[in-house]
Amino acid sequence: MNARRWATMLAVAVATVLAIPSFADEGLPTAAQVIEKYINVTGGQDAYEKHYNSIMTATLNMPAMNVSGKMTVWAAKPDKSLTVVTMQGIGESKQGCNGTVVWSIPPGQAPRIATGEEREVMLRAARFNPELHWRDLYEKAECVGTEDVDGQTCYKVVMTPKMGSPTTVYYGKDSGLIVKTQTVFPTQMGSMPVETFQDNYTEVDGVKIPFQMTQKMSGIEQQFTVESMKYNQDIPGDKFGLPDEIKQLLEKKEKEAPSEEGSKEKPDDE
Amino acid sequence: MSKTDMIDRSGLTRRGRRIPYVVSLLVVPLMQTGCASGPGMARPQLLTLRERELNVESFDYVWKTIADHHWDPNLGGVDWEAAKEELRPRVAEAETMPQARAVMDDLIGRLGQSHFAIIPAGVYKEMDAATENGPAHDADEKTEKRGRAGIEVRVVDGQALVFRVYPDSPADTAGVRPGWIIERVRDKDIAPVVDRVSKAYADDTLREFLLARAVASRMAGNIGDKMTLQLLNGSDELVSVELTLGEPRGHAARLGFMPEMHVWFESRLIEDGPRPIGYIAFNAFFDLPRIMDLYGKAVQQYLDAPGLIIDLRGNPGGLGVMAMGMAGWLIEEENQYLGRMHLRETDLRFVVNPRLDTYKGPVAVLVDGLSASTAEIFAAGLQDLGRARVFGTRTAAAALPSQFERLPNGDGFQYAMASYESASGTMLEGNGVMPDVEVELSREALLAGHDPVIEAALEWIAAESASQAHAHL
Repeated sequence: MNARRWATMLAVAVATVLAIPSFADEGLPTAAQVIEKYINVTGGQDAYEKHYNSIMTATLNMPAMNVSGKMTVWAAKPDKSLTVVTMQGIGESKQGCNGTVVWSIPPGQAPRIATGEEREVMLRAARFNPELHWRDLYEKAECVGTEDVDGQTCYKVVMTPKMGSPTTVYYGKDSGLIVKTQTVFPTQMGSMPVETFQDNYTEVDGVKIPFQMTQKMSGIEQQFTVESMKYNQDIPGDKFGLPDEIKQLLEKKEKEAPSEEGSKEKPDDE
Repeated sequence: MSKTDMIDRSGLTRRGRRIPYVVSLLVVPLMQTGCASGPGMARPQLLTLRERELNVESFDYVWKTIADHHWDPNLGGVDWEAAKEELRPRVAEAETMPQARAVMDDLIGRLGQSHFAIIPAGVYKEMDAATENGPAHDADEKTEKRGRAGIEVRVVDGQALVFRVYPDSPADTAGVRPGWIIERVRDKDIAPVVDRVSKAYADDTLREFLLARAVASRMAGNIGDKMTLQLLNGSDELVSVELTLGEPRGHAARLGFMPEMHVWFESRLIEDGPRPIGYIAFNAFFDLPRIMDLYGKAVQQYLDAPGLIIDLRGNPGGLGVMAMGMAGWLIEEENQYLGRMHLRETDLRFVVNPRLDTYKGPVAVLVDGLSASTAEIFAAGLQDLGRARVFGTRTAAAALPSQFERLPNGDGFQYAMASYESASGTMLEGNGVMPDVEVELSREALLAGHDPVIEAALEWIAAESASQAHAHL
């Protein structure tokens, strides 16, 4: 129900387009072929490469609970992102990555810096145009069969990162588009199984993205609807800088435990 | 009076162990106001065929939601299929909404757990009307805003005592004081009510909660309503007081389908010894942006105080995430958690992320039988982590993470989707939080202007401060 979850879940959805090819069962395409088709049907590599940053606005809605909000995501090459979510009755949540430090300031909570598996997942999610960099990000990808998703035959591709749980991606056999993803998302509170359904692919500056996403997590359905997507915008250089609270937290961690992971993460955005 | 009769009157819809959780502050008074009106109350309208169909759809939704999402796939051994077979026809046959709701209450009541409730659609209509500042959707439904006398009630030794009187409230203006005994409300005797509830729930952890609610409900009404109270004052003289109900204390807040609540926050310094002690109280873990901001500022203001008291008496809970955020101001160590909730698919910990500047002195948390849900999660977590000492009486033992949805017939539906155990592994549901120092209220203390629970906390803080000072020598 919190805003941070929304942001991280969006990240999961983005991350799931990444994969590495490997040998597949007889009669099935390789994972690489499935992914290449996805890149092609959503615009092709050249179209992706024309973009160096983006600003997306979206609405969030949990219809069963009558809770809604607004989300804005700024992203830039190679791996910077900032997500701001405002939920009615909850307040504002921020989450960001400057390429090294993955941080969040949830509403009413202390600022925090992600570590371990959670950090790895968010770093992958922050990669701009991740479709083009899958070889760097995933250790293994395998097309393991076909399965129907809402009446559509899909290739089922299991992608295994170097760290963290595998993600299963369902690509429409005919459309080539991602229809559904399944993963277990690591959070500070624990692992959360998540299903994401993607729909209403819409072309923006040569690249098709899903304008509608529905996520199911712990029995709660969350809808995500893109309102606008703009590429190659004039984003101020300090947009992806670390907030003061996060800088102070980094300094505190460095003082307290110089050997901790956080101490190696120096702000590189100044 | 049977238990069923009491259920209808109190609006608590309790069979076995159900509690209104955050609903209690709004839903219960709303429903009870109708009861208080008595003779003027309209007979429930007969349902149309379509309305009956919607009730059956709603029943099916409730049944399936619990079947699909309850953390225990076996539902604690309840034969859920048999319950459906038995009750679904009764919903279809129900001629009025109260009858239909009673059947759905019967269904969810068979789980014997807190945080399952059916909330009448009228609650939402009233909130919508209030929000829009216009007429209600249904001309037959009144839209007066609910008023309050400004009295917190506790039943002590079989007497309905005025526990707290809110400053500048109608009761305060009328001269009502803590320790006075509420004898009659609107010409109705209170003693028989207290007696019946006491007997019916003699061994129940919710007894204190239900007793206070039973009395408070009889003082409910709309803003502007006149109400006569007869009380025994400090000299045991019968005093008759006429009140005009006023605005509830605090700010109105809403979140999703959770009923509107008025949330207040209080922080001050208590002069006790050479250095004053910080004191924080709030009536619900709700209105997150405002309350978390006020709480954070208060703790920062008291960082150098020799002790901090957090008073959760009467606090029925709210948003669990606020317990984690508030604990973050008190716990310095990383990777601590207040407890763990168990969903069907996974377990999630209530992790505490420390603030940059945390309060490091002794913390006393005050609780009573009206402290429930998130209030229990907060108190139990700090107690288990050794970060706070808990004072007062046993809590309501009603702590299950839940959410609110709307049913096809327009009613609200609250259901728990997880169980919860505190950091030490204690299930709070059914057990509650046992205070480290048990302190009961007494009429004599209240009449003398004392709060024995606060005083016990102050005494402990003074001892802790002295001990720490001695250790530094």
